[in-house]
Amino acid sequence: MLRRILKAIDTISEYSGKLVAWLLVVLVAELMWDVTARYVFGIATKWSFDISYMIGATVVIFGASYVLLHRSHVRIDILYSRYSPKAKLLYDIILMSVFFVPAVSFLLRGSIDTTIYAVKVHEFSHTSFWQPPIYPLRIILSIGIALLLLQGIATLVRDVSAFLGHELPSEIAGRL
Amino acid sequence: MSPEVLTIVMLSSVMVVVITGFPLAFGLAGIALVSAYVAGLEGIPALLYFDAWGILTSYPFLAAPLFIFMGLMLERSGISERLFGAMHVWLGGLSGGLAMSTVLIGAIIAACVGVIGASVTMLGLIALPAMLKRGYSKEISTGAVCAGGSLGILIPPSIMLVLYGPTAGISVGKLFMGAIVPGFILAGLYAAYIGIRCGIKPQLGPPALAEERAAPMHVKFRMLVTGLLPPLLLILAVLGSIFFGIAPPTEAAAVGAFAAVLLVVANRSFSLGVLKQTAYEAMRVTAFALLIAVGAKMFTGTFMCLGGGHVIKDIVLSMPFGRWGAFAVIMLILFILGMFIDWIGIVFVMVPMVTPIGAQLGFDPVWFAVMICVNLQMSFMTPPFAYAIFFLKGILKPEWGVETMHMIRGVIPFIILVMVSLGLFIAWPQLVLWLPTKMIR
Repeated sequence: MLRRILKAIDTISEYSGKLVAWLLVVLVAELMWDVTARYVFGIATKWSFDISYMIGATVVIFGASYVLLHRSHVRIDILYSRYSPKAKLLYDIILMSVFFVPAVSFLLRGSIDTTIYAVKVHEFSHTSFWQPPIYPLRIILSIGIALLLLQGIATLVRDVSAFLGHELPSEIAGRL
Repeated sequence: MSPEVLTIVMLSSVMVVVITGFPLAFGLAGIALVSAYVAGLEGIPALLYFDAWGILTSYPFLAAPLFIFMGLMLERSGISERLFGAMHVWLGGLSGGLAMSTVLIGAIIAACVGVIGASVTMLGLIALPAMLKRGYSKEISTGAVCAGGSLGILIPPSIMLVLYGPTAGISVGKLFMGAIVPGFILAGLYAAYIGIRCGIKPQLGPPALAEERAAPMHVKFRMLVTGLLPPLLLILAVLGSIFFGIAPPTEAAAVGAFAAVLLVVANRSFSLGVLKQTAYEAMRVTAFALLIAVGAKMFTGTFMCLGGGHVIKDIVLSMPFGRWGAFAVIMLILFILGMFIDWIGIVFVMVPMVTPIGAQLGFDPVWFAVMICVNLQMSFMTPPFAYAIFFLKGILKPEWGVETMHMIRGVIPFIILVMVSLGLFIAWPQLVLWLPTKMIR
């Protein structure tokens, strides 16, 4: 059962990360269109600015879970690479539970509160002429942060079980 | 807790957590939360959320994924190989010619592929085997690769400047223009050093044999044009549209990314698979860099809120020898940090702290920023923890017989040259500031 849940979280992180990567291609095309429309056709695209940062935020927040899943975040390994495998696990378990889980939980709490408020008052963006509703992006970010938290907890659960000697096979090989 | 104690505790816990090997982004976010909680701040979830929101929805930061996409795409267009081929034919006959070519390619192309470490790896793969095969000294050749590759993180369009600008509240376009002249002065100093050193002692970088470079003049010219023109056009299009105020850096980056796709198509190496891999890699690099930005924003936000900014300011401003004493202390701190920590973390954590100090000392913000960026690109190749050397180590083949000591001895002259250049920019700030003032808008 636990295995299934962990695997499901991995799969969601993997595919949502790969899916949002394609948004970068969309972003290139969208900004190209914006520039072309302005200089060739003389049309100002009023939605380009807002759409761009919305795409950017979506890519980063879902990319974060992908990065965490693949453990390819920056780590200074001068000392870390010299720990024994057990020590590495223990180190990650302690720091993930003291720093990562509380910080992302608080972040998620802040995100959900703000999103509920934004939906209630129909909050609009005031950063451009277009003034689109901002709550869809707030909802997307809340989902992204929730996924990041889940992926962090999944990583933590795997480390704990590996530390106790029950290796839960990860979809992603080659760590430690 | 007094602000002084809190400052010391917060900064030293970051150092401990990071040096022992916890991912920077999560360490910064966690320490921010714990300190805010201990200090009894109100409404912590909302504070953290608005810090994250500010970074995630930043329009200027968007230039980063686009330039990363452009660089990754360009790596597959074969332009570096072609340029090195052309340089070999034209400069190979000089003593140390290949090492000079390496530095020049670093200045031209590494600038486009300025993703963290990619430029060092790329130059190492293309140029290092060629130099070693022709009997170049291991010190000169690895030094040239590390120094030329590190230029990539400084010369625009570079990711470091894209991330620095919004963090310090400076226009990325101005920073780009400010870094161009210093970047090329560095490249010139490197090339001159190699030329003089190998001119005195030709066995350090023997000239390539004439028959190996023999080609009819029109072939040589075609090689030069096909090698040099595409990257130059791309850089001029991107930087030119920023310089003339046609497009902000984010849009210019999108145009550059699109042009890079066209170059790959022209090289007949485009496929859906290539596009997919480029997009995945750009997503991954962007996510980890901006994740650090989010963590650092939470950290510096809390740190400033609790009065840490004032403590740092008081310490730096109380240094002897006036504003230059304070400047020297800032540069020294950044240099030492740079030997241990990735420049991404330093930019996001230290820049919000030192920028107001620089302003209070009366330094021009663009000049101050460029000095810090030159300093950071120097620390990128400074032992004992030189990222440039680590990246190069990753691609070394045992039969080349290159040891870490060769690389360390190799980079030292170049580090001294960077220090010399810093002196030049202090003596003549116009070297940095002239181009930004000529910008349209």
